[in-house]
Amino acid sequence: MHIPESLAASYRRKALAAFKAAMSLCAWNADGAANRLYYCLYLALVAEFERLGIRPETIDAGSARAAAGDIRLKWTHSFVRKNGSLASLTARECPTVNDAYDLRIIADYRESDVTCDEVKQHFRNVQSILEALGINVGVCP
Amino acid sequence: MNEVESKWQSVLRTIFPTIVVRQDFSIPEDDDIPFLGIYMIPDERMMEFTEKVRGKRFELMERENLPDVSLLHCSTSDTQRYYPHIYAEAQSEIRRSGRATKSASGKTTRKPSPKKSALRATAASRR
Repeated sequence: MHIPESLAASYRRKALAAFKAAMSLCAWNADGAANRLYYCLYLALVAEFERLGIRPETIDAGSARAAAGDIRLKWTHSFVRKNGSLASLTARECPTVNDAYDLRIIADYRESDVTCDEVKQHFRNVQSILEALGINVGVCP
Repeated sequence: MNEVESKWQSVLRTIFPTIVVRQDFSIPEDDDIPFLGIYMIPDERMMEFTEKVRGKRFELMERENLPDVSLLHCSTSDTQRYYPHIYAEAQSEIRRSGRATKSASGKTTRKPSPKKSALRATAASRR
């Protein structure tokens, strides 16, 4: 009998794939790598929040507004970025999520681009966050 | 400038005196945290920006009572290339501040010359 994968497990799997994509994209498409790098953190954190049974719409006005239209929209970027501590991220780890988000915004929407070096600066910190959340990345370049 | 821009700009200028901060309203993301463009970061100091601002953003926010924002950094060369209007604004501010400095120092060192009417009155009283 096929047992469907939980949402948390799916998000963890996608987080790992996003991290690997970021590493392989970095050398020739830093903007793409920045996008994947942020989303691997976003997905890993949402997976952990789901596992912990956190209901963002009950503790955050922005999430409540988003969820009012469609409950699937409850995991807002600002909630995820501001609440890393709920997933036991340390005070040193939380800024990495914000930095990755900022890089992703530049990469996706601004006229200027991010550089490979800027993305690479975050690989090690992102890896340690993923591993703290139970996602085994393997060897980071 | 709005309040968020001016607060962040005045704090960041203590580290990077040439930077210009402008809120970016063009980002198509539904987010309750403002997007701040940080322009004119000297190219050779980009790493320093990462270390001193990004790496310490929460400490900086707490210490200086700054609102939470997304920091969208941009080097001087990228500002010139992609945001020429902001580059031009920054250049004219640098020129203005240069003139203002000269003008201020000139005023403090130069003795005010007496008005011609006052000189004439003095001469008349001596006669």
